[in-house]
Amino acid sequence: MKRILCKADIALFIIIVVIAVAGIVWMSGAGSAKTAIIRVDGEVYQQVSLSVDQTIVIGDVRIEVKAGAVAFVESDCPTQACVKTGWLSAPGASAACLPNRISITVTGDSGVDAVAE
Amino acid sequence: MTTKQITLLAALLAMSLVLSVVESMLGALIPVPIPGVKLGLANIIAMFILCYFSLPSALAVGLLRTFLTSLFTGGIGMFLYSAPGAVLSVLVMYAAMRYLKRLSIVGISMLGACAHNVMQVCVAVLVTGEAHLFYYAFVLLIVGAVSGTITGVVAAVTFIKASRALNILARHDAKYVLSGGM
Repeated sequence: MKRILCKADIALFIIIVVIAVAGIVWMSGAGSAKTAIIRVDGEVYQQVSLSVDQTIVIGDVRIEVKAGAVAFVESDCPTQACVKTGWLSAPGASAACLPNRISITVTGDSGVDAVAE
Repeated sequence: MTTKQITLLAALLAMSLVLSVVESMLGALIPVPIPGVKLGLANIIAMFILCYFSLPSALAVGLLRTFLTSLFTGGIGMFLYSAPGAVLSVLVMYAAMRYLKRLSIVGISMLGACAHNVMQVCVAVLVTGEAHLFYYAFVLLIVGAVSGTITGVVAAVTFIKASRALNILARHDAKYVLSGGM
């Protein structure tokens, strides 16, 4: 019975994995520039980067950006649907507070919503 | 090309179709967290044709396989999506057999699987225009290395027996590959 794996095969496997891991690390560093667009009455009110933690207050509504995600954390609306939506981080994700006419949409670095796989 | 070769190639095409269909059924049975992960069983047939027939035969069978599989499973859109991967994978494996003579069939299989996966991501990037999908190519590179090893080991175990049973000889380029590299 001949050997199935030779040294070159093992070396190739290691090279591929190293290239892949380096590529993943490199791309995740460059491609994490996600932003959230906050709209009031359909007009763009503010565009915020998700890499900077901050709090935005519009009237009685408080929006927070923390650890690459954004959410309505406080609102005076009766249903609290916007607060219940929770934290958004995936490009294309959105939440809205209809009584206050405020919406948040997360976009990727290219500014276009990601296509679902 | 002799009648025997044409008949064998037709039988191999039928086998690769069965493997493709079985593989898509396996994908539905065992859900994987990463989309696009496949074993690439049909690649075993592509390697067999590269070792015992010729590059044009391997390309023709690869294209026919992707065309017919797309008719079985997803429609013509699937063909445009998978054919470039199949072609590039065959070309890369052929070049590796000629020039990277230290590799055994397992290494060739890894390269073929990786080429196939990366090409599929490239097609997806072209179709959607989303450059950040390239990120996914690196994930599928690792998947290709693992699945290529599995299919390569299957090839190493079966090829010599199969060729003896069929009474066909390996192309001289493929001899190093089949004997476990230099």
